[in-house]
Amino acid sequence: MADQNKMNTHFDLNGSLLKDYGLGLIDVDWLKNLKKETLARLKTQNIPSKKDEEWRYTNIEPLVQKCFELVAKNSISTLKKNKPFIQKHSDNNIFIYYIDGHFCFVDNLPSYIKTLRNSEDQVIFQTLLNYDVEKIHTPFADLNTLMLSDVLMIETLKNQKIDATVHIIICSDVEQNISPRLLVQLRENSSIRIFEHCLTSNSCVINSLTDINCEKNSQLDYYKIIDEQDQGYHLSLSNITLARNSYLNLFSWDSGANISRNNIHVDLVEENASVNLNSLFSPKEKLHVDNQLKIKHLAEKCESSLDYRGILQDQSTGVFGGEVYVAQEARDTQSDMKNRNLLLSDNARINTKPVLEIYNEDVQCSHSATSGCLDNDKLFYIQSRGIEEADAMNILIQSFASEIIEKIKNSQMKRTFQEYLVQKLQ
Amino acid sequence: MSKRNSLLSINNLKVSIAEKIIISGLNLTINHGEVHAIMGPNGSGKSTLAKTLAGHPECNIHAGSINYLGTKIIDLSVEERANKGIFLGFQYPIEIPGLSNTAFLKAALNAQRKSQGDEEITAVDFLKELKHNAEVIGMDQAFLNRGVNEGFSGGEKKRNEILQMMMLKPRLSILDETDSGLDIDAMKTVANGLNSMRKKDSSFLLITHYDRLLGYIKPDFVHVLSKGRIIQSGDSTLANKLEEKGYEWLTKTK
Repeated sequence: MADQNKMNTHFDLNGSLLKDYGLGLIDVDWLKNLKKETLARLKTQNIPSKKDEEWRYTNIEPLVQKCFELVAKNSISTLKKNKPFIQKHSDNNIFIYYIDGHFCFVDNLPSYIKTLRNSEDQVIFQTLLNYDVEKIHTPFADLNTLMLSDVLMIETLKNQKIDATVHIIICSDVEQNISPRLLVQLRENSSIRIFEHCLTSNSCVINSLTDINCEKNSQLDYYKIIDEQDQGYHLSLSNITLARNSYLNLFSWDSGANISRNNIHVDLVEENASVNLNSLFSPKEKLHVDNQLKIKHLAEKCESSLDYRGILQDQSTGVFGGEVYVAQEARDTQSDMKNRNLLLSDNARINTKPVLEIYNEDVQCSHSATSGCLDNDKLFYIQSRGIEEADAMNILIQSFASEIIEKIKNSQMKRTFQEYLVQKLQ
Repeated sequence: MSKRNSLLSINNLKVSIAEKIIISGLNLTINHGEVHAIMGPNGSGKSTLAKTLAGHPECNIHAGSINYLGTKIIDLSVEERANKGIFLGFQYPIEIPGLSNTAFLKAALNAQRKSQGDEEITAVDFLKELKHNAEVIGMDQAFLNRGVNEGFSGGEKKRNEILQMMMLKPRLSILDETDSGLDIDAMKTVANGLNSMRKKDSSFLLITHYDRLLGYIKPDFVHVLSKGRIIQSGDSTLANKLEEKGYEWLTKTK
């Protein structure tokens, strides 16, 4: 690329209020320094565009524009005044809300959950955030760091099996730039459930960054529902590292936004680690969902399984970009990547690209992608039992989604997803 | 066979699939409570006849009429026919993962009730009947909560068709090669299910290759279908004759 061309696509931050706003959010020296470095780096980076392979099917321009527009606005929601909105913790449920840049809760948090704002121990936050910034170099991750005004950290103790669901509800009722930052540290032989729910009732930009580190023998069950408004933008980047015998189970449902983009990077760094990603995406009207997954098998005997299903209506669009990389030393790897799509309208569109990159021969890897409309033979079969065509179609759409939901083992979360299914697809 | 008492009467029916004529002038009358068997070589149009009666959209009717319970049904939708009591047991039952057998049966039963202006069946009544019928045909309870036909063996799928039939209590059951892929034990249990329904109101049209099933369910009439028409009709002894001699002696003389 010519130098001149490059110049034009740099972030122009001088004219925006980003600089002051981003730095003023929290007044701690180490964080100020971190933000200064991040800002300096962001200025030198290119704005992502359709020319980049990974943004080929998603027009990023309106998102970038909206993002900067809202950063300057700095609006405050009315949610905090509305107390009954916030749920109290119950036996097996912890409720944490991300409102106006802060993590909020009614009761005290259990000792394994800390927030940057209420924690006296800043060192661990400093260490992990610095590590993040070194590791991740994307403009949106940098932007998250710049905008960061609070951090939620879930850190289990060794051998701690937590039979509770930590609900993280990201919400807003005004136009806002929302930059949640989440750090999840599972120590040896521990386990926990997390349920992240993005619930915004206005045209927000959510730009979230999550870092997950599972030590050996730990297990994380992560559930996520993205329920945004038509005019909203959603960006999320999850970086996940799995050590020996650790296990990550993800179930997510994204019903789309103006642009919704989910990046998930998983590194299987020690043997016998295992990752299971199960996802539904169901955009309607002109909404757009883009899934970008990168799974790296870096050690022996690891397993990965990806099951992504799109249900696309009207003029909606979807993207599946799945990449499984198997290193030379990752012998005895098992990997299965599936993307299936139901196109319910002639104008709906899906771009799917499952990719395998394998550097040794001792592997069992498969990948597949299918896209099509409802199966006529199945419709006929259901109708032949007396069920009307419209109902038969509904049954088929729901059964397609149910196959993912049926895999959820936790009964409470299964119910939550089943209720969401009824709400979204009926 | 007087037309007034007949359940189904097909007159001079001509059907094509994808521009190819499959049924070419077929006549058949089935009265209440009768069991008819249709036999015939591969490609003679047996399955097309079954699909046409159930209203499959790919079957184009060019001529003739189908009267069922005194009304013409050619213009009725698939589900309307089903709710009037026409049941098609599929030769290759469809798998629908993600939809449980139980949920499917309940939805079907309630659709039928709705069409008749009845209230939905209670969960207790439904489960009681389901359990009873599953026992009659020897289906393991575990299958009821699995996805419809998902991962079922050929025999299990056929059993499942019979279970659906028993739950829906159709007036006319068209069973398309329900006996194929069944071992002797499965055949017996399927026959049990059929015989338990063979009362005054239930009629059957059995489509089959062999007379094996007919050893357990004695038909009132046996018809031989060839090139889209019935070329021979007779009583149950015709089936035995076909088993001995094959179809050639009939098709040659034609």
